[in-house]
Amino acid sequence: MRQNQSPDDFLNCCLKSAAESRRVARERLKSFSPPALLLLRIWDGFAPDFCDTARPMKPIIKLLLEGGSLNTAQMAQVLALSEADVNRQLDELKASRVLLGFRPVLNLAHEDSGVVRAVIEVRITPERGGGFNRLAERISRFDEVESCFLMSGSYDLLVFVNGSSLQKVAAFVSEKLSSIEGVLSTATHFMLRSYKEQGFMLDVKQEEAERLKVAP
Amino acid sequence: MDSSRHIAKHVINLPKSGIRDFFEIVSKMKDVISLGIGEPDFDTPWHIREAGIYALEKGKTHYTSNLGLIELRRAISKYVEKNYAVSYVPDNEIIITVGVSEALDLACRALINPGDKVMFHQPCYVSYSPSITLAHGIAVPVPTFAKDNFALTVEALRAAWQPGCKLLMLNLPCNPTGGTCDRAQIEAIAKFAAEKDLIVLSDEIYSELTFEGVHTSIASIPGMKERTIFLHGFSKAFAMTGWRIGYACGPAALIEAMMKVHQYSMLCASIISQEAAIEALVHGEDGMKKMRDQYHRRRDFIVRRFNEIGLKCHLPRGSFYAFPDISKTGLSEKDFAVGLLQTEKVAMVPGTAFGENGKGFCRACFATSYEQLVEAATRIERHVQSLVAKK
Repeated sequence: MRQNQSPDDFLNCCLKSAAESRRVARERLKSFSPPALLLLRIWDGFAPDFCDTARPMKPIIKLLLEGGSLNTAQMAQVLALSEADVNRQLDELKASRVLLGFRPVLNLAHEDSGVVRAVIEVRITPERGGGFNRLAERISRFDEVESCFLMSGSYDLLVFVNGSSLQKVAAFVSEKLSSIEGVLSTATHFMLRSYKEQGFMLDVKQEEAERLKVAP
Repeated sequence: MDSSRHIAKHVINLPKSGIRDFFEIVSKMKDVISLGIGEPDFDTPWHIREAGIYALEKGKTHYTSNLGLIELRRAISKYVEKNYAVSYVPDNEIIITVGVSEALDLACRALINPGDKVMFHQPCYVSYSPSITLAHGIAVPVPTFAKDNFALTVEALRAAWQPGCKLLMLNLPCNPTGGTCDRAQIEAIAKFAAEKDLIVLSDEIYSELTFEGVHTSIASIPGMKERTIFLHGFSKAFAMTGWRIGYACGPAALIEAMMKVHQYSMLCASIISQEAAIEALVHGEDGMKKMRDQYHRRRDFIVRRFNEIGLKCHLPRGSFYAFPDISKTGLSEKDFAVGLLQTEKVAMVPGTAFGENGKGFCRACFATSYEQLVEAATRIERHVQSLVAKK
């Protein structure tokens, strides 16, 4: 999206090939939650101006994103708060479902974990009133589904799936996912190897660049 | 044979850098949290590194024009006009150098006649006074003070000025103090420079890292472009210290004079670094702003902690250095820094490494991770408390 381009112009540029595609895309944009719209804008390189005018990010959220492995006592020092205040703010973030949890980022390639991962492109039928939300939420509830995103482009949902074997993932797709009413088609891609996860390079030693201990 | 007798007098008389002394001590110690490094903790953003790799792949391994790649000079011209409100002609008013340090050296060698006097504010970057001496000039330091947040004042300039002063060096925001000047102060300095017919060498290497207010380049003040050499580079804002790439912009005659020295000494800056620098200017602004925002938050934290600890610290408006006053400990800045290093393994640089006016202060670079900063602050607090208890 170019700067100052209206959503309609964006739609016209991206989806001018077919009037039907436009209708679907507009419906899809309507169904985006505000954070998803923000994400869309970040992808478009439109984020800085948009973010500046939007509600500023809370300091504790910035610190969670930047602070790496700070514990709550250290976070309290950085934010000039008591540890109790930090805990209270974290609880509020959890209550408002901004902070959904903490998970380790692991490289299980050498652990023989037997986990098979797949990415599935899913086309679904939007519904009057709810757009894609009801079906997307229904698909997301399966334990096998790690993440689920509504996408622009030639398919609707991008679904990341985990299973203990190829057969189990295949069974999930054929028996559970594609059999849902409203699912038009699926295209499953099995992941062969991960190179980067959640910002961490895998199998590439994160070498500390050699810095002088004192420099002018 | 005593080979030292062959060394030129003006070199042999140069004092050793105070930082080097301190480096010798620190380098022998393990597990030190160093707040003594004058460079970003971020590696160069990947897209810039990738541009350097691509340049190599494409066989860009040759000399460039002495002035530097015209594409880079065009990109610099646009960048400087957009961010500093002063325009330079890429063909003859911009030269690419091996870091700002070379640009500064070229300017000194091109402009200073033996015995010319050069004013510069102090505390300051370690190479200013030696660069003047090596060009056979006479260094005239102008003090800046904590009470002014280390901004350069016209009163101090007037008090320090002497007949024979030809140049004025500025470094705003300043390494090591983080001090800078607002527009009114810059205008006053410009008026003084015009009144005394001074050429200004304005090293604005930290200008993107200005946290409050808008950075004003003295070159943008009406009438000043003609008497200013604007010096800048990629090391700090784009985390490119090791690439050694900088530039100077100024009146064509002065750039031509600098180019003469450059072509017979350096010839040109590395083409790989020049290609990477183009990428930094064209696509690096968002990444640079993210780094700046992180420095900003870390600054707020470390300055607050220094003041809580009892080491009075002004709020540096730019750069990534805090410059706390350690005099309440009763120790000299060097003894304090060495003691802190030996007892708590935290490195800060004694203020006098940046000139006599750094007496009573230490420089702490906050371009390091939150974890390190939090731990360093805890250790410094413990050290200061033990010193105060002993008093």
